[in-house]
Amino acid sequence: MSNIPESLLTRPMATVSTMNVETSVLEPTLITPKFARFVLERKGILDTGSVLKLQVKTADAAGGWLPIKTGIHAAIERATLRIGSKIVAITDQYSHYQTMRRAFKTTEEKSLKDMVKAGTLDAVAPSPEQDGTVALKDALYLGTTTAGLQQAQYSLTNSDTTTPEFTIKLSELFPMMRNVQLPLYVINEPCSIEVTFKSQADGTAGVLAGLSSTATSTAASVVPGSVQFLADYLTYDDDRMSKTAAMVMSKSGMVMPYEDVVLTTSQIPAVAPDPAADTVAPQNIVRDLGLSGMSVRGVLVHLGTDPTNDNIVGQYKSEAFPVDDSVQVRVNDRQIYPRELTRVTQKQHQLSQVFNTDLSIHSAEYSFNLATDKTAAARTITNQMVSQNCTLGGRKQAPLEGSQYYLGFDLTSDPLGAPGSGTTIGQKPLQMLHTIRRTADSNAARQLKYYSLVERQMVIKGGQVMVSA
Amino acid sequence: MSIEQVEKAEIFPLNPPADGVYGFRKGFPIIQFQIANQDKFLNPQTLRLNGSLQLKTATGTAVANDPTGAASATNGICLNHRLGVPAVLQQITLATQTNQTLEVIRNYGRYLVSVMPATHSQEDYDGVLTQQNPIVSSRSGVAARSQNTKVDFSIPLRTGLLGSGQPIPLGTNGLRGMMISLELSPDSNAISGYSTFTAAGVGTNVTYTPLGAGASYEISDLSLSCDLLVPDDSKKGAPATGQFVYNSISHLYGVVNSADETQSYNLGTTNTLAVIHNFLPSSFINNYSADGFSTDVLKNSHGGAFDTDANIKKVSFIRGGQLFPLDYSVDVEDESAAGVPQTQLEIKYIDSIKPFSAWNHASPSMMTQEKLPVHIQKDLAGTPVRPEMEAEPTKIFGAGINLDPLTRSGVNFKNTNYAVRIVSELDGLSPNSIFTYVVAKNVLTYSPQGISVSS
Repeated sequence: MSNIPESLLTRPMATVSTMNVETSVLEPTLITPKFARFVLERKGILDTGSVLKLQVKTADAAGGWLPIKTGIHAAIERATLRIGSKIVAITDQYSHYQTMRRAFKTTEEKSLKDMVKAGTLDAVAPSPEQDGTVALKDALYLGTTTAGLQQAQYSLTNSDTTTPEFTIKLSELFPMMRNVQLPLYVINEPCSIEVTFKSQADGTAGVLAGLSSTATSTAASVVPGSVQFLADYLTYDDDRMSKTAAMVMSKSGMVMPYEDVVLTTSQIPAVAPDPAADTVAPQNIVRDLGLSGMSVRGVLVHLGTDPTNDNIVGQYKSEAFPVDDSVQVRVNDRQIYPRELTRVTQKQHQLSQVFNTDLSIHSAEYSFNLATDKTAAARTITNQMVSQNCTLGGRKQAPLEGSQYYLGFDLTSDPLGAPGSGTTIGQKPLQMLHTIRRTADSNAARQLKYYSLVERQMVIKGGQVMVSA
Repeated sequence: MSIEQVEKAEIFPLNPPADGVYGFRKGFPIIQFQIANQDKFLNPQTLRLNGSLQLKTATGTAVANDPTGAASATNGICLNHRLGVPAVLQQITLATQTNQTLEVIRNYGRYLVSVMPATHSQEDYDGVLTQQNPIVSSRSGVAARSQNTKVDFSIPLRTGLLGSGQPIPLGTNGLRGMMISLELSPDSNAISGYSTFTAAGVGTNVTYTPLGAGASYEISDLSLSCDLLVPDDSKKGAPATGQFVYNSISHLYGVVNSADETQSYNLGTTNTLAVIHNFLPSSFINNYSADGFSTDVLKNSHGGAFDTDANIKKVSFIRGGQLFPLDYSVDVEDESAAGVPQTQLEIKYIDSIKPFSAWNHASPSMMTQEKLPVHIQKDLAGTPVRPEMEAEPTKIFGAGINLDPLTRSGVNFKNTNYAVRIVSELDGLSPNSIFTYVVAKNVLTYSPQGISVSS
């Protein structure tokens, strides 16, 4: 990163400099209910705090709420950053990725900031029933100990004028924007941001919204007229701006390392026949991730069944297994763990090392560690820690239990995860070895999503942009 | 130091019982781990003690805590909710493989029960902390329920050395291997009941009955996992001679009983950073019917029950007979009398654990200290509507002093003593234990001749 001018980094500058921030409200050059494209102006430096603004509305008059752990991010299927015809960054299955990424934010940030900006409802606290369980903290329990409501100001409605507006930061859409900012004024080709939206058909739930059981229609969609991009263009003093320009015009150009996400999807079928009651059927899975030649910082795994009937966590649920599964990772013909990881708390610890920060959700949301009877072979769930009676808009909060079970593996060689410390994958693909222990209650097919965090490079030379593989 | 590779290591105990289950009652209270002498560095931030915890009733069956029910033989058996799994660890000893002691923390749980609430908020207790230590919670009823089943854990060992954050050289040019010895706590000290509360914050203790032979805990499938940093070939290992600085935490025990009492200690440390005190009625130690990890104020006893607050009026910190580092006594008599927060004392206490200027996540609130709900619940009515969702209204109290907040280089107590004078409402008939933890800088020097630690 040392080669990048200070003005393009997202950390505080060593010296104070005059800065001008110009905000442009960009209307999409192309907008449909499924797609939007924004073309950025060729000026200044694109600030990572620029945001996409949009609304979601329901078809039902009673309204609803966004998937509680995903919020407005549920509206985005894919985000692409293009410079000219080149794709600089692409985040596929963005809503699943962002649901995982958000689990690493502190509860305070999720509860006090994201609820307002993204419409989420994350925090749990001791249940008002005082029965030793936990329940959603920021739902309103007015005059009741069980019937929770989404707060009115964040509830979706069926009207363009009353349904709330939420925002998504550019740095959330594209991981690359967490560390670097684009010097648009020295790039000759047009920069564009493309966003593919999701929609929720009647009869399904949890893709874009959760609704009460009395809703006559469960359809929900993005309001096309609400979609705008609020671009912040930064301009510094002439000296600083011309130094950046000189670097771009130099013989070697300006090299910008950045982080991108590579998605690999896979399915795991159910075992047949279904395991008998209180028996366990092991299922061994080996999946190759084609990342040869890439420098990989880490891998995140989402293990959902992509349900379309969950009104609380929605499609973004990654369900835990009652009987612990085991995982091992083989990188360049070397297994990274001395023995496969089975204990959920160890898996969580490895997951937290991917972002060098702890997973900030309740243990009962991550796994069934506190819920299962360890004397039963099939680990029967007997001690639920999420309230079985508390509801949100009439829908039980119980599906929260074990709903955010992710796996993650840190492959950096620097304890602080410094840029450039990823592991270069050789000719053999990165292998994920997974043993799932199926039971009668946990035998659904899984849609696995492997998000590989890779290091790439962009070179801006003479106004032209080149991107590494 | 340039790191070539990170190795994920998992180490198993040197002294496993035949069935792999450790427990105080089972007669296996010591667990020893050895991290071998190797040309690598230990990343202490990644070190975790992994295992499974199971609480058992007096007859050896599973517990069934139910905060909606009354105390019974199976209801009312749990570890402290602000501490969780570390409640079973009485002592941690870190040494080199040649048995040079690096750090010993006795009464580890009493240390953590001061440090954890002062550095973690209710949101942390109901979120991030449960990931590694799943049986903690902001409410004891939730913690109790979470202990009904055998629970996996992966906890950090929060010692000064392992909390230093710097890679620890394990090779011949360094510690020459490391020994970690854990001593388990007596069941009667680790285990107690939990509390339920009315909306007004009036608590009822739920402890299993009859106490009989006593409940117990067992921990099994233990291992120690950590990342080992492999330096690149050109800079293999650390230089033959070197030193590194680390903090250590040591414990001292005393009893206060009179209304004006001065406790004097020979700390024997050159670079003393802070001293932390917390209090517990002495009869609460090793007592199933009382929480040995509560952090309440001093208590007066009536008929054997420590049920009356003995508020502190004044605290003075003394070095060699002179007030130090404050040249005044912390006087909170008016606040005590008025029943309002003893802010001046509490700030000094928190500052001894974490610089007060950097204080952000923390559990002490008007709810914990004064039983006043604070969560308004955004209904804009202005009245807290669900106080039962807030942190448990039990005090997080102690006294302490950051001895060198400015330079953080420490104060010399090698040849002079430290004393704390506590003026309180104690009646002279109610012995309260005072647990003192001293945070000091140590220097470990290694050379071909051996290893030495100076404190």
